[in-house]
Order: sequence, then structure tokens, then C-alpha cells
Amino acid sequence: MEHWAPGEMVSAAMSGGEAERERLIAAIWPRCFRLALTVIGDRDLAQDAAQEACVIVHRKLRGLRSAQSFESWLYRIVMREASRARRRNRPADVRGYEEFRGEEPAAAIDVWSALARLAPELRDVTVLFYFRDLKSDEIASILRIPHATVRTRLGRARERLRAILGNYLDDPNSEAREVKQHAL
Amino acid sequence: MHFDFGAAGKSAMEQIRVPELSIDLVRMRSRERSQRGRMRALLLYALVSVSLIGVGTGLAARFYNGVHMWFYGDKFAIAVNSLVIQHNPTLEDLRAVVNRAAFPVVLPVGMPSGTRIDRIMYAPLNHPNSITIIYGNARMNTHFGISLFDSVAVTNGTTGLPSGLTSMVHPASTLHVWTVGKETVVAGRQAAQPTQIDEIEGSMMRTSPRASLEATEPMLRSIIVEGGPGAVADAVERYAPRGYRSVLLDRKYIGWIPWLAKREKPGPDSRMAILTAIPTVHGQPDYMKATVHWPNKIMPKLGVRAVRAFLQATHTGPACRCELLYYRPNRATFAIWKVSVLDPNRVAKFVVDAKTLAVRAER
Repeated sequence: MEHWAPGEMVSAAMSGGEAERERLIAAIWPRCFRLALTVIGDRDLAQDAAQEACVIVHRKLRGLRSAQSFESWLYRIVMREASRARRRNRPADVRGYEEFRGEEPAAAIDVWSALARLAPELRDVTVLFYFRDLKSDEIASILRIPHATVRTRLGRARERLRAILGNYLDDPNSEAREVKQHAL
Repeated sequence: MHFDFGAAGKSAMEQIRVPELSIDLVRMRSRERSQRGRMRALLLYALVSVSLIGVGTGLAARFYNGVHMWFYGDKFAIAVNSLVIQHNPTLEDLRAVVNRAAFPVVLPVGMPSGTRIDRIMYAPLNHPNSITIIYGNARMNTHFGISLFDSVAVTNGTTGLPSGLTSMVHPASTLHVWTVGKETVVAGRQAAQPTQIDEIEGSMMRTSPRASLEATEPMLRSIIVEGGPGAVADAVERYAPRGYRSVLLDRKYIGWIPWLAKREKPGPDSRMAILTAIPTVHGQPDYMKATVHWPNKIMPKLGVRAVRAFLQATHTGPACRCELLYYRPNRATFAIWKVSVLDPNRVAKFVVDAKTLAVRAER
């Protein structure tokens, strides 16, 4: 699992004062925002969701049992807030990745247009699996869904991506990673 | 040409421009949330401890109207069968309650500076014989409640309680009780510092009902605040136009407006709720199952339509990170000010024509 912030910073924020907590929030903010934006596709909603996640971290960090659980805890918060933001706003209100088209390189445009065409539940697992290198059991725990559901959604997302992108190339290790995990 | 979807995605994510984080906003919202949590606990405390041991309300309704309290040896019991809860009261709200109370009300004075009244609770509606005031002090990060009873509604030193009450008594040692004229004042020992309580008791002894009301005014809202306590309301109070019935609508209320407008309903005053027919479960009043009624309105149907017209014309929704200050300067127009939650001093002013519902920005 990719780290949001150095472990020492998390431990210091958990046991320290407001300054340490705010230092941690400043460190996690870019990733919170990027993850929220990638799954929502709307800058304003993503900013709201990421900010809400930071408010929760500010309030509840001290109640966290251990620094090791910080990574998955934060993923869970950001994904939940992103999902709430999506639910609260009808699809018509969301600009849906439109604004990225003018400013990003071609490969990125393909990524955004593919994500925009995935159903939200497929998009969530796709982003966590491919862009954040999370294992499917970790995704299951973050999204609080069964492991089998994650695998099914990943399978459906792959099919959809192949149909959308045509020249889509899966990370050769990704399926192997999943199979190995399943076998374990 | 093929491309690696995972690698392209990671790179695309890294290229996303990240807006600046307002750590002040995070801090403010975090504190607001914690306060709300504490307020919920406090409301529960106030309801349960002050109205504690709610007698079987059927029994209470037969014997008493409103609230009655018994001190029985080192124990106490309270009966309640209805309750009015009013959040963010204004001076007019409190004055109306005090004026129709069944006893001359000496309000608590001698509060630490920065203390505000978050809510009042009283019963019965028409002639209250009990008023509970919940105070908050953001600077000291404290909340506490003080209850004022008509001494007639307090029975002291009885050798026995009315039948049905014996199983619902609690230790009186949890309370600090004193009398001022015809009023019995009750404060929870755990709810405030002992020195603070002594200071309040001393100040109340030296004041009059009228002087205490005047001393309470700075602790009350000068505008109608629909929503929780917050920094936005404090700032808006400073610049809201005087002489009008100004209403501050929070994001939750903004979210209700289209629903209300569609059904042609006036805007309810969510600050005041009346709880009646409070049932008793296992000897405790169950407020969640009481009949709840919001009797007051804060804006007419036309006002609701004007706010909806504003929301539509300016593409404003509950996700706007703003609150709205609404008032009616004259019969022909409604004034709506859009206040930024990030910086409450940033205000965009609009006027809505009462006849055509046309919206224009005000310079």
C-alpha cells in the first residue's frame, strides 16, 4: 500500500498537539484531493470531499488505535466522502472529467475519458487497484464490500476498459497479483 | 500503439493541479463538529438529567401541567409531560417566554465573558413553570445548563412521593439548588465548575427580573439563525441590517428550499420544536417517540419562492459552501446575501423582485 505520509509524522500527529496534526493534514491533502477528484471527476465536489476527509482526520486521529492502521483508515474516509459527494449531487450537476480535456497530455485524456465512462462502483475499484496499487483484499476492506465483489467488479471494469480504449494494455502483473492473492 | 493503463493513470493523477488547503477552514469545521457532538450529548444530558425520572407521563398529566419536581430526603424526581425546545433564541424569543412564565423569572447572571445562550427549553408552552437555559462558551470550550423552576412546582421535604414515583428517584447530590425569590434554581454539579456556580448564585441574589433580562441580551442572537452554532453566524450578526427580521439559512436549510417551494409551503422555523405526549419507557421519558411539532414560520411562501428563484438564477445549491442571509426590506423586494463560509466577510448581495421573482445583483 502506498504511503500517505511518513510513519513518524503519523505517530507524532497521533500523540502530539494541533501543530503536528495540521502538519500531517498538509502532507496528506494533495493525495486526498487527487484521489477524490479521480473517483468523482468534479473539482468542487472533490475539494469538498477531500476537505471533509481532512476534517475527520483532524477530529478523530487521536482515537486511532495504531499508526499502522492510518493508511487504510484514510483511504476508507476519502472513498466514503467521495461516494457521499457523488450521491448528494445528481449526475447532471457533475461536470464529469470535462475540464481535464483541455489541459492534459493525450494519454491522460484517454484515462479520464475511460474513467468517465465507467460506472462509479467500477471506477472506485479501478482507481484503487491500478492507480494506487492496492490489493483486492485491501480494496474490499476499504470499501467494506466482499472480496469476491471486488474481483467481479475488477473483471467487469477490465472488459469495459478493453471496449472503451481498444489499445488498452493491462499491467501484466495485475491479474497474476490477484490470482496469487486469491490462492492464498 | 498500446499504453499501460495503470502507469498512465498514475501519471495523470500526479499531473492534477491541487488547490490550496485552507487549514483554518478544516480547524473551524472540526471544532464546529466537535461542538455539535458535545451539544447532542448536552441536550441529552439536559433532557435526561433535568427532566430525569420523567414520571409515567400519563400519571404526571393527571396530576400536573408542565413540570413538577420533588425533593425527597437525599433524592429528587421530576415529572414532565411536554417540552418546548428553542435553539439560537433571540431577545424577543426569550422575552416572550419570560413574560408569560408562571413566576417572576430571574435569569442567571454573572456568566464568564464570551458566554452565549445556545438553547432554551421550557414547559408548558403557555405559562412555563420551568425554563432550562443551555449556555456555551467557545473561548472556554464549555457548555452547561441551568434550570429555573417556579417554586410552587417544587415540593420539598416530603415524607413520601406520589404513588408511582418511588422507583424513579435519583440522588440529589448530583444537583446544586438554591432559591431566588419565588424561583428555584437547579444546576447539575457536573455541568459547571463549583466556583462558577457560586458566582452565578451570588449575582442572581443581587439582581432583579428586569435587570437580569437586560444582562442576558448580549448572550442572545440578534438575527434568526437557522442552523447550528458557528463562526458564520457570529460574523453575520455584526453586519446584518438592523430593523429587519433577518434570517440566516445554513446549507441544510438551503437544501430544503426547492422541496418547500415545489409544495408551496412557507419556511418553518426549525429552531423551535414542541414535544408533547412524551411516552415513558422503563420509567424514563422517551423523547424520540414524543409527538414533535414545529409551530412557527420564518418566511412566507412567497419568500421561499424568492429564495428558490435566487438559487436557480445564481446556480447555488447545498454544496455552495455558503449561507444565505434573507430579509424583506420592503413589500416589493426580498434581499438575499450570499455569505461565504470560508470568509464570512465576503458577501454578495442580491435583490429579488416580489412580483416577477427577477433576481439582480446589488451594488
